[in-house]
Amino acid sequence: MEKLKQSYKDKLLNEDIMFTRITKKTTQKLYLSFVNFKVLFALSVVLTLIISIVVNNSSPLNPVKNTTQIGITTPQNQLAYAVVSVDINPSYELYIDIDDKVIEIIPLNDEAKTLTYEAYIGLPIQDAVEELIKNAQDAGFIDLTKTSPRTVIISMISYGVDGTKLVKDIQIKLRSSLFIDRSIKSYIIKATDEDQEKAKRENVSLGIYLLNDLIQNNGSPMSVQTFVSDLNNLELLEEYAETTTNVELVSVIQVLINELKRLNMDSSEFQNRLNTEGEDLEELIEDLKDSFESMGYKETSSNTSVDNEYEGHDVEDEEDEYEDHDDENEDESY
Amino acid sequence: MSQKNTELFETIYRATFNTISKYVYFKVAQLCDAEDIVQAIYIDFYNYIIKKNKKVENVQAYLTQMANHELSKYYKSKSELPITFSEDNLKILESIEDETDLEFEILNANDSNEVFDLVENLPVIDQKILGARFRFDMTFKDIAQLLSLSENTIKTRYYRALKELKKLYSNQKI
Repeated sequence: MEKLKQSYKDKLLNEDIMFTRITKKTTQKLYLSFVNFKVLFALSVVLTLIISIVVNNSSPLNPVKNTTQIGITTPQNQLAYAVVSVDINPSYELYIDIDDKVIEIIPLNDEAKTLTYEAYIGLPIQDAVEELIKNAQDAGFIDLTKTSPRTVIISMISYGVDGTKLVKDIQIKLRSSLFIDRSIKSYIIKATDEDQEKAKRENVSLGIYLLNDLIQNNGSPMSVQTFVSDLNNLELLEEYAETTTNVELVSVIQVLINELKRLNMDSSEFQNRLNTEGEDLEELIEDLKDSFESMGYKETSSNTSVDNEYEGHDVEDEEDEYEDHDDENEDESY
Repeated sequence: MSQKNTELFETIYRATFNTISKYVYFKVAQLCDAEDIVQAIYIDFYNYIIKKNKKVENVQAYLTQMANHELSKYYKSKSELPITFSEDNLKILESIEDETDLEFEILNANDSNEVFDLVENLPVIDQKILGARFRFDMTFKDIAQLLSLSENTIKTRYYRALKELKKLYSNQKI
């Protein structure tokens, strides 16, 4: 082969070199994850022991850390790995098992007690959250006639496991929901154990505590709707909440396209747009939802599971490569 | 990587790499960006599909879709538009004599690595054409189709690029 051609093949997008780099990166990531997990595990055990010695309070609304495993004991003595607080105005606390299924739901205020919630135990967390929001919307707790922002706060603490997958699953579910009003915007906030303790101490839900803490409100706690009625607060919330990356948006689009296909509707135009580079994904989601609305479509259950290839892009445990890549597009992010 | 995952990944990688890298190569101006993007695509593919034992019906199409989204993020992060070339901007003012000799001379230069390094001094369009010819073994016709230019333009640009390379190479040797 001519020498220059060989130089090109050696240096320009060389298949073997790149393969070595990729395998190295993925192996490195696994190794780092393993080290991180070991450190996290050791810290969690130490922290759990300390907390169990210092705190000896097991009232139903003040769960105790389990002393032998990573996780938290629920008010009904089950082992949970994450707590998700949903603040609409009705506020709920949902306890999740290792498979991200809801094992317990605690209504945190009187409004919450008036609505159905027990039926959602056993559902995947994202489906349960969607049902709770839909219920509150249908019961008129979210005033759709007002022009002020309609907001739902979802705050989350995970115990010994990375909650990134939970966040992504909930984001995708809510954005692709066809029966939660499109004007309702959900924000997901990751919280800490300390936040939870403080929220309990102040006798407010985790979401309400986080919002008030965000603006350092020392007066009586603001409700979600009061908080977001101030645009400065809303702006602050936008910055503070978990962002939705393009990967999640693509998953949302794929869910909606698959739903169109399931209904034997033509989805080719949307699929083509999804495949077109530079396409505005947010706009595409809105157009897809328009098309469902124009045919008067309403899902009968939020539990419709629509398989799609991009569902595989949920982020698992210790990994968050896509997000890293979004931020930096750098090798080191892996 | 587990042994089974490694083998599956390698099979897919080897089967698709050339197409995906060629696709990305022609969409970005800088070579290093193309490499970063291709690498990111396969790392993501490994993490989100192979590692989780997900099934994808059409791997090639799926990877192309991933490439589109990586490229879209890239354009956004760099505030750039996809590269395009038009005939109007590529006026050819000269014809090249002794094309075959010139090609032979450049292709067989003793310091081919040095010649390769000089390519980055050429206009992007010419870099793309040389890469297409030497790395991806593409015909003038295929390159013309891919870049939406006439075959004649591609051919002329190609020889002009070789001539320019020869000049740069000679200057370096002085």
